[in-house]
Amino acid sequence: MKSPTAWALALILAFCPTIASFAQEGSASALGVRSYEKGDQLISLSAGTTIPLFTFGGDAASTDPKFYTGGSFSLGYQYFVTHGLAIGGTLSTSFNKTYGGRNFFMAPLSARAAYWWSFKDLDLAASLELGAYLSKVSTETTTGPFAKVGGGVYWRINNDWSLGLQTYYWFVPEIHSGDYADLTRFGNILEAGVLAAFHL
Amino acid sequence: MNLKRYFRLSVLLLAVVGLAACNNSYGIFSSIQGESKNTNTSAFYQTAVRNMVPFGGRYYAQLVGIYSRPAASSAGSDWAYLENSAFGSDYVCRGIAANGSLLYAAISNGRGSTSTPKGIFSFNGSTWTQEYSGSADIQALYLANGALFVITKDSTSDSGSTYSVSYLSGTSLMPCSGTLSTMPTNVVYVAGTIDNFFFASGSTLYSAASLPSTFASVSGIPSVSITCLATNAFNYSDAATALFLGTSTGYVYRSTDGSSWEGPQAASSGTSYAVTTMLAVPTGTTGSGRALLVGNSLSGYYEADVTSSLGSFTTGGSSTIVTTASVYESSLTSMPVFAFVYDGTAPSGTLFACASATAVDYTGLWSNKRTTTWAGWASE
Repeated sequence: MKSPTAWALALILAFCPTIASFAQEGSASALGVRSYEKGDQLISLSAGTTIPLFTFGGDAASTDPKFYTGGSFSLGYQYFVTHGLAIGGTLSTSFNKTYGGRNFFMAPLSARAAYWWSFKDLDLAASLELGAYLSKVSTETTTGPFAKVGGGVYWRINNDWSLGLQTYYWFVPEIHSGDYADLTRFGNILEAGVLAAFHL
Repeated sequence: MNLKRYFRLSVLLLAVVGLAACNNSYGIFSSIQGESKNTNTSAFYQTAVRNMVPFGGRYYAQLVGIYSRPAASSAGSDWAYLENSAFGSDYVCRGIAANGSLLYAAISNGRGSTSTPKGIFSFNGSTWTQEYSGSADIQALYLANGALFVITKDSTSDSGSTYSVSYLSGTSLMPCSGTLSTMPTNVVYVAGTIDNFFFASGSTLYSAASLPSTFASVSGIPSVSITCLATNAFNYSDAATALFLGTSTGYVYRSTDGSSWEGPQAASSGTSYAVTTMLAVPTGTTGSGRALLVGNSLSGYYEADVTSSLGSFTTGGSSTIVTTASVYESSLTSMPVFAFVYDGTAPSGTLFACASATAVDYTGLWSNKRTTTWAGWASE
């Protein structure tokens, strides 16, 4: 059975020929791409991995998260409110195997603020996202607040498509109250992946 | 885009998600942090471990052959296949039992239907000795009050097999039961008021006050099919004063006098699942309490407080007598448990669970260290 990471990599590879074919239609430099302005919109799809960093809080005896690197996918939308500044949202998913062989699933939904810098046919972006997540292991589910921060570098293939690499740090608090306050944990995860963005 | 509208929608969405129903009493991250690494390099990965015994500072696990590791090694480390020229190169272990002085192993030579019985060997810590060299088809070994009991299959026909119970006397097997049409349960010994050896076959409970004598049926027991016996002793050095019956429908009974019975208490998720094993383990900081662990033929185990009476059972996943729910759910919850074994004293020791992992991606042997509390199940 393929691991989530393997599925993510397969999806990334599947993207490559598609994007390359778009690139052949006309390079960004030749088309004279412009930086993002008010009213521009991006819809993006990314695939990658989620790497557990550490988990702390509550009565945790160690910071070992005890789950393995897994796969992630996300769908995002951004609207430029001014030159370079975009707001939007992202629906992400993450799939990881735990040490004990269980499946750990997480789906954060977050609002996004990002700033984009354009250099010829390359864009740099830094963003902050705040939202909430749904997580599940075995038959148990929980929800909580969610934050992620990071950015990426993207190659403007043409005026319609960008392809880039991005990295995000996820902060995933799981808050329990009352008699169960000891169960509170703060998950820390690194997401790294490939993003393809279509310029609407 | 209307920024205020966007902001309001975001806040509403966060509020809905934040208020969505979730279980405050279950920590996703904390449960994952309680897990043990399940390694597919273990000798017990996807195997069925029938039994294990502690002896002479080592642990011996019965698979098809025998695996052993030092007791001082950490869980999952240093297991090695036990090779012995007297057993033969492709031996099969038919049963294993140990007390403080000797380890016994019933051996046959060759795998499959042509396996040839080679009798019973004993190990004193340095030398293996063949105690019994006959051709009896041994099914299991049990030690009770210093006596080694041997379950043998005596005949097989279209109508089924017959069995008997013997004990090792010198170099011979001395029969102590009649012909039995149902595979006998384990043999146990209860001191105190009862002061008898016990085993069961079908719906009959047999007892004998001493050896040599033939076991006689016990009257006045619940009308049930008995699949397992246990006492309230956690190992051979702990005195037993109560007897537990496990049934083919997943129920447990308790008696301290051999004539009146408490129960039944359900220790299974349904009446289709039989009790496969039971063991009393020490609880509390001093180890003066007792919890009865009950495995069944479906998966996982149940546990109840049996310190002074027969308490009601909860699954290992929801109780914390022995371990936390998280570790239980990532390990033993998905496989039937064949045997529990406790090595140590009342305040501290190691509990083992021998299970069948042939249908799941787990190891078949798990251990759980106890000091004053339980550390949680670790994969062997």
